[in-house]
Amino acid sequence: MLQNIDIPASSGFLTSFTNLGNVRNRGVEISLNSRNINKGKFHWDTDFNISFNRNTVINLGNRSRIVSGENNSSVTVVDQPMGMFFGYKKAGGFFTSADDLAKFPRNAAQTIGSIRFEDINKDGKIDDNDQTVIGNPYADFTWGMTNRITYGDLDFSVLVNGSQGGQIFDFYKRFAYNQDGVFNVHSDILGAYKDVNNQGNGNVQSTGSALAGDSFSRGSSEAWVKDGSYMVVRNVTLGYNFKPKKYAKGLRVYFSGQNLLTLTGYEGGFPEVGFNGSNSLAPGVNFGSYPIAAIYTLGFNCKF
Amino acid sequence: MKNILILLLTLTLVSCKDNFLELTPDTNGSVGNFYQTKDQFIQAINSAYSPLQGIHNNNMWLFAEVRSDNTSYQLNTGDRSGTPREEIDEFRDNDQNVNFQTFFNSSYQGIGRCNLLLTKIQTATFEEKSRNQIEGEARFLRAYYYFNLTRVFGDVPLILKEVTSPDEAFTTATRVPEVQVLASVIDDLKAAIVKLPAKYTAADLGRATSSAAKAILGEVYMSQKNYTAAADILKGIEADGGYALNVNCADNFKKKNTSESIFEVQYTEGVGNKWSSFIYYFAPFNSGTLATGYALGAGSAAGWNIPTQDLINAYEPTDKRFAASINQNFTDPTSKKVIPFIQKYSNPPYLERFNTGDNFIVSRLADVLLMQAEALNEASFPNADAFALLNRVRTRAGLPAKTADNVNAKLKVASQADFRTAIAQERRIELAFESHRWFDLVRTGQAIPVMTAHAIAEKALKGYILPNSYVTINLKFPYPFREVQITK
Repeated sequence: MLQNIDIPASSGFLTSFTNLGNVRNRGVEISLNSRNINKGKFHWDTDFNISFNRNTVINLGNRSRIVSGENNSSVTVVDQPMGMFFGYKKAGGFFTSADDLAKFPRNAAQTIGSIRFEDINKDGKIDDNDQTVIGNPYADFTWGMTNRITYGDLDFSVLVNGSQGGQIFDFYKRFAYNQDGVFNVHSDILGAYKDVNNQGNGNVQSTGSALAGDSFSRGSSEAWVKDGSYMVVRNVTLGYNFKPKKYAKGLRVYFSGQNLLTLTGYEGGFPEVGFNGSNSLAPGVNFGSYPIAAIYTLGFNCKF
Repeated sequence: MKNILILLLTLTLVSCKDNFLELTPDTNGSVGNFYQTKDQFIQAINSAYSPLQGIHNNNMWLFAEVRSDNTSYQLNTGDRSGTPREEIDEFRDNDQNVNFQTFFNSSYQGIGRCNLLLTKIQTATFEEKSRNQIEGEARFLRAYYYFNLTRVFGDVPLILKEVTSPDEAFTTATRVPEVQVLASVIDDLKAAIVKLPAKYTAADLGRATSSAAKAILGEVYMSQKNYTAAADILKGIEADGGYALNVNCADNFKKKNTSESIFEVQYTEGVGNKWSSFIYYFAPFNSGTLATGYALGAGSAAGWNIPTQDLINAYEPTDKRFAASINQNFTDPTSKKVIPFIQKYSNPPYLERFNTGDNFIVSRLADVLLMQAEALNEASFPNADAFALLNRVRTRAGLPAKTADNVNAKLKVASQADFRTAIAQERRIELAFESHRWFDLVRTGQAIPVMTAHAIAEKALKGYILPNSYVTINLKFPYPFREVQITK
């Protein structure tokens, strides 16, 4: 792997391009092309493809792990895929009282109304050592299907594709859950912890603890890892070919629509473009991105 | 024909050396082709100074003043983005606090530049006097960066050579005991003292001098309670460097590089990105144009380093330094309470907004005289020299001398312990807001009692204060999260 990895700042530098470790990519791709009906004027073809890819880090040279991504969003460890999501596991619930603060492991910055995290290394406190792999950005499989139907001069095609089983890390919530009072916030904040009897949606620290500046509870949390499976109708085209007798050799009129329908349980925008650019050590991290456009085209195509 | 064959053969054999593929770009500077001329070394040493500007503009006052009992902040309920600074004030230690990482990065950036320069200068060929000076500056700067790192974090990685590969970046990132780092600091400062001139002419004013190295070395010794060595190294500074106390203490902050100034972080107003803006942080956020002549930054960009009532009460009534240090002309329109703010460093009019040329003083003669007095008192009491040094600073401030047998109880310093108290008081007032207080409290062992009392006062004052405030008075700050994470 040739990667731009984070290096200790004590070197005087923050990142360095390094050739390090080995990664194994294994997968199966299947492509089917079928002519379902081919009868007189009526034709129906289907192309279908599906691919399964598994990527595993075999070794990392002399390193035990690579922490990467903006604000340490991701981690790469041996025997797991590259760039898994990195953060705290939720222990369930909030600190609701002074008793809770004394009883449960916590970070010094956490207070009443802070989210409780799991003490992974069992040392009685919550700190950096308790961050662990909390999610996997890679899909179990991705697929695509095209159907083309023609009847005489009329043609119709639909392209659908999808991805199943990949997760998305809603890292933008680090900012959208920021209750400092200067930023626009996510509507989830309405479901913030209020008191022991009203704990909201369970994922947002109390606004009171924001006065406390408990930025710790905005640290990377398992609660931000969401299923990113989706299916999207990429393209639908309906066309008709005229055969004029005079003036032109051919005339085609068509209507096409792109990105017409997305079926997904993911709520943080379009599940594919929300990915964090080209950093292969931090895939699937959503920092918030512009939504994709649905495009409708009405066209005339004239040949002379 | 035969000759041509031999020639070709020779060329082929000769040109295929190991470094055949290791080319340096001709069109821009790189480590491979830079570091040749004196001018290039001057550029390199200048770049080693530059991280000091960020450190003193953004971080140092947080660690040394806001952390201490000298200053706090003005609560801004409408804008909570300043909470990392509040955490530092209230001992809610959090290793993800951005200020630790930026300070750490800047410090090691400076150290890295010094290390590279110090490697390259060994083979440089320009005249010896300049080589010595540049080498001395680099060793001074490296020592100063490390000294601050140990004062902030305690144990830190000690890197004294250029880091040449990512692997090395990891192998050198191990924290070593503070005492070991300080041994290297002392070593660097001793070398700097030998190599640096005691003074510069105008063009080089602001560069590190042997006096600056002595002053920092004195402070290192003080922090190690090595008072004999401290007194020894500090006593020559005034005469060797030709320093003199300014007649008015306020002149230290109105003018740059005065006769009293031993080392200051230099800033330049205007274009070039070498300006300071710390005074904008220090004004109450709703005080309009009062402090700088320009509007302040929105919300949490201002209202920091606000003097505590305790500090205000610590001034003696006729002290000239009060008006020069603290401004009480602002009344909060909502609470109708006076919110004091720092007057030192406030020198409007400025040419443009968020852009000041005010320097930040690291060391000046008054600081050296008081350290000297402190060190002498540890050797014997009553020490006439120690009293004389203390009283020079007091006289300038318009205050009566303190003596061992004064009839006025407030001016009587009857014992060695009383003298320590008198020095602590004088340093607190004389050097207020100059990023000394917290480190003084730590090195004199007063941090825990003073801050415990301060915590009680703050909790009484701030109804909103959180239960996790002032739980433990940590003498060092948490080591930055990122560094812990990636070195595991």
